[in-house]
Amino acid sequence: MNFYALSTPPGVSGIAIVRVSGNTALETANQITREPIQEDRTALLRKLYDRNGSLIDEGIVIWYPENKSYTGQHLIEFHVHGSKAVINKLLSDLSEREDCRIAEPGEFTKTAYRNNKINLYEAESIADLLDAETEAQRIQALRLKESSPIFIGWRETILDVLSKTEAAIDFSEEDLPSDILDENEAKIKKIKTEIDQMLDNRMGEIVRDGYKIAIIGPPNAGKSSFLNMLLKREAAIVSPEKGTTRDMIEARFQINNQSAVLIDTAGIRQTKNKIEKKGVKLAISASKLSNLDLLILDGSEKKISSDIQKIITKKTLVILNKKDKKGFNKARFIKELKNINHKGVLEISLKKNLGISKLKSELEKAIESINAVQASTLISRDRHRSLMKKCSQRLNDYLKINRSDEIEKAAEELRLAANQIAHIVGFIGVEEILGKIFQDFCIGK
Amino acid sequence: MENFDVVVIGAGHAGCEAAAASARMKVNTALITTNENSIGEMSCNPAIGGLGKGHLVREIDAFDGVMPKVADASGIQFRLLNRSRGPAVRGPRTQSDRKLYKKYMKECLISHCNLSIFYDPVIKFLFNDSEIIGVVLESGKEIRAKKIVLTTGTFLNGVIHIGDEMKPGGRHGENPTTGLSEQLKKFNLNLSRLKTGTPPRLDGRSINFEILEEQKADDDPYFFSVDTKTINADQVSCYMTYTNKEVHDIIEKNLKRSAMYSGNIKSVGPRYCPSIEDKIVKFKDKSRHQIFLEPEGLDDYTIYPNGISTSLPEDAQQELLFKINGLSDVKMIRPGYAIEYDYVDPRELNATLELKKIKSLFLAGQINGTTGYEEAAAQGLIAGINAALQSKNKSPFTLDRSQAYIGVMIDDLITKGVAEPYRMFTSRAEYRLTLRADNADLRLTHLAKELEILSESRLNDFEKKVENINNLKSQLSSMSLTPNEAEKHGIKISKDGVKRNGLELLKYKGVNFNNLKDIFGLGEFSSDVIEQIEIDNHYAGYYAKQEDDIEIFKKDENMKIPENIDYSDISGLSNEIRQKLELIRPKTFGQASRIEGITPAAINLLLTYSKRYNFKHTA
Repeated sequence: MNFYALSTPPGVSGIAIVRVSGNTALETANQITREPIQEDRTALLRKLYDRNGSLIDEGIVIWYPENKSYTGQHLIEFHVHGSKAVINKLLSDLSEREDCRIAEPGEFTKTAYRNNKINLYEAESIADLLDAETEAQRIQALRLKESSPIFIGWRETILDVLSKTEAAIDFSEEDLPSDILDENEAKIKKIKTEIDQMLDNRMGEIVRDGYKIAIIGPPNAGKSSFLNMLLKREAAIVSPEKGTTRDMIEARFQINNQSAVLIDTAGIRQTKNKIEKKGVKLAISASKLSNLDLLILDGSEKKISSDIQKIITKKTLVILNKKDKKGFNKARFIKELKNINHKGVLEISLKKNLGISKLKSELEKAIESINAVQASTLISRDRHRSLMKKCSQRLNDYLKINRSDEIEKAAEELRLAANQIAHIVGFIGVEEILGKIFQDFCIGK
Repeated sequence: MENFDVVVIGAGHAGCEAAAASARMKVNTALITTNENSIGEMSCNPAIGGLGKGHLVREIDAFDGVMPKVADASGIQFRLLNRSRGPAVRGPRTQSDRKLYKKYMKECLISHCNLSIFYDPVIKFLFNDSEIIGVVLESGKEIRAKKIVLTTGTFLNGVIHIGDEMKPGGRHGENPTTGLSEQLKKFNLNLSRLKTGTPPRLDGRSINFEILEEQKADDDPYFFSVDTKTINADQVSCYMTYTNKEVHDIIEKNLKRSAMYSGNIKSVGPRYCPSIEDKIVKFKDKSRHQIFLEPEGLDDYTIYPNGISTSLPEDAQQELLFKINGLSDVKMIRPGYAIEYDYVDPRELNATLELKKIKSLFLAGQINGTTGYEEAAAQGLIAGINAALQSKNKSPFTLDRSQAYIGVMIDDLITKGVAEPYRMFTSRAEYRLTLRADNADLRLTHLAKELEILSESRLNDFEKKVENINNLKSQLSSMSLTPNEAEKHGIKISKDGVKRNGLELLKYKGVNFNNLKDIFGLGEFSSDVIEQIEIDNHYAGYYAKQEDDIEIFKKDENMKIPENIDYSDISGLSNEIRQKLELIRPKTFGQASRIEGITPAAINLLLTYSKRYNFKHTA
């Protein structure tokens, strides 16, 4: 198994270095460059492609063969542009490869030690480095301190359920309370939902692609006018004719110095027109990929059509336009939305410029919540993501197992799930001694 | 004066196993005990095995040990615990006839070549500097030995408590061993006290079993030894009864008179085996506590009421017994008691169970802070093997956590020490799904073979079994079914057109060997061979999940810490950590990191120092 990590500090920089070490690291690099690397320890300018053949970036690739590398295994360095999007793309491509996994903290040095690559001098200088890196450690510790209560809480719940399961195994002959296992399923379901919610949060993609806001709704509700209003220019053609917008219009947009992508879409309705039909299909898929949907409705209409109701989700902010018009009735819509999950209802008039500042502040709020999450560093989030994914899988398996006949399997799933979290918070029970040794080292060393 | 290679002191479960192992290792061995009647005594309940414990006995059997055979021969109620659950957590257990156990154990030991037995208590150790060289017996006889295994059980400065009565004793009616602890203390060994207890013994003829719940033996007994093929002794039942409010009131009323609560006993007893006083005080809400009435033997009417261990005064014990359902006319043969004894902090030991501070002296059993016959025997086995190896100047034999429950136990003892008497549980084993009772022979026989501790017939049987397993595996993997063919035989698999071989088919729900035998026309295989194939398939998915963990564990266990490392020479270690490292002297980085309170920073310092040390000493 090869392991990889971002070796330069996380965040935006001129150049970022991602290292991959392992017996098949060269093969992995050859797949990424799509051109065999023949010269060792030579800086080669190469295009880098993901597994689907899309270009990631152009950068420098250096191959250190196993006898001449820091770790004693084949080691590849990718020097890429230090933008979050590029780094994210490269790391996520590596993570999807079956023979690659993210490095444990300190694993490069640990491997170097195992392969007898660190001699006295180097061992000492690494020890010195440790002292020199207190600032990095401080930041890392602070970050862990902030997020660890959540992880520790999850782990404690798992251990609580595990201990009851173990009691039922090891003391089956004893007079245990008959309801000892009763609450286990509910407890695990609850934290699995929490973990999955965290995993659902696609921050990596948002960093790479920008925060996507889809403007959707029935024809002639004012979607394109809305887009033009936000952009303060005529980006989209506006006319009283239904179905004016057929293609998607994407436009960059700044809120609070954060970049977002606004996507204007075709009005959603039943239509026989082939081109318009395609536009409707695109609109629906845009709303699936977005981070936020703005559903623009004509507030004077009588009801929400069933086609529109179907696409309302928890990320949909409903905007009732035409507040100035006769027959505008917010209460009617709120009643109709009563049993549908959505993000909230706002009322505006594009014509009279009513409710716009309220709307903008809602948008700012939505973007701000993204910033708070982005504050944690990139690599650790990647590491956490892959560990928590495994944790969630184990909990999922736990819930699927017949927990009375196969109680020992249930316990094993819990133990493995708890271990994943232990990797994050640093309680590493009996396993991975060396992982502990180098934990104080900067990530990816 | 007589000379031996290995001398084992004490003929309890640790001592018997140690002496037999040493003798099987073909070194000249002596077993010293107080009297003929004390060999293989079950001081507490008359049962062998259980969850975790049964695993240990099966592992002892892989080394051709004595406990498994004797337990089988004297078994009067075989039960496989957790039978309805997965194979990894099933625990074989048997009630044993106490007299038969002693009889067969004695016969078994006598049948060993190279083994002499002395009935003459040890009163003194002989040392040469920091090495033990022999012992002096009560009769004045002096015995010299290259290696000594000490298994004192609860006898070392044992004190028995019944109510406010306190008297020296190692077991009911037997004198304690005194004077030896004091000799050991001179070597700066860390000795402390532990406590355990036992319930009163009852006359079965005065119990009304008819109104009690009966627990019968299994129809198909699961034996401890692969050599055992049939039941030797008659099978009997156990019975269940419960305490009640009246019983609890009597205990509360007399609590101040219990040695546990009067302040007479200060040492710690096992949490998982509390006295009835503890149960009532700590679990006030429970309206009743279970009591198992276990027969002590076939021609013995003594009943062991498991669950009411106590140090209440005799009159209070009798009073509460009368109030228990089925025991209204019961005759108490003798009262229960609590016992305090000396143990040595097991962190004073190497993984071979040799003391670090006294050369050639090995400790096994309760003296190391454990409880239970099986835990004792397993340590006896390891101590006996290593004493014998050392006497022949051969390299030591140890097991690690990924190999055996024995390895888990010894690593726990020498790395973490004990806060209460240590008992085995299946949950202590990280690799529980692979360390099973059913595959103990497959896991360990090849190691036993290298030790040359196995009889020829045992080896032949084992090799035949392995061959049969491989044979069945290759037959199964060479035969396959398409999804359509499988459906005709009633096996439902997704119709993807992919053929599955026999091994893969076994992974599907409801498919077992017998289905496939009919379908493919496989030959005859014994049940233990079929069992292994089926269980392996049952856990196949988990082997893969655990593989990474095991690999990392092994790597770290292979990173040795220099034998003669001087911890005071490592700058930057806190005093507390230095003391812990000094006491335990871990052999590997794996072990070091399992020590409680050792920080990653400390491990890092240790690592840097070790590298420099190796550099200095190899340059």
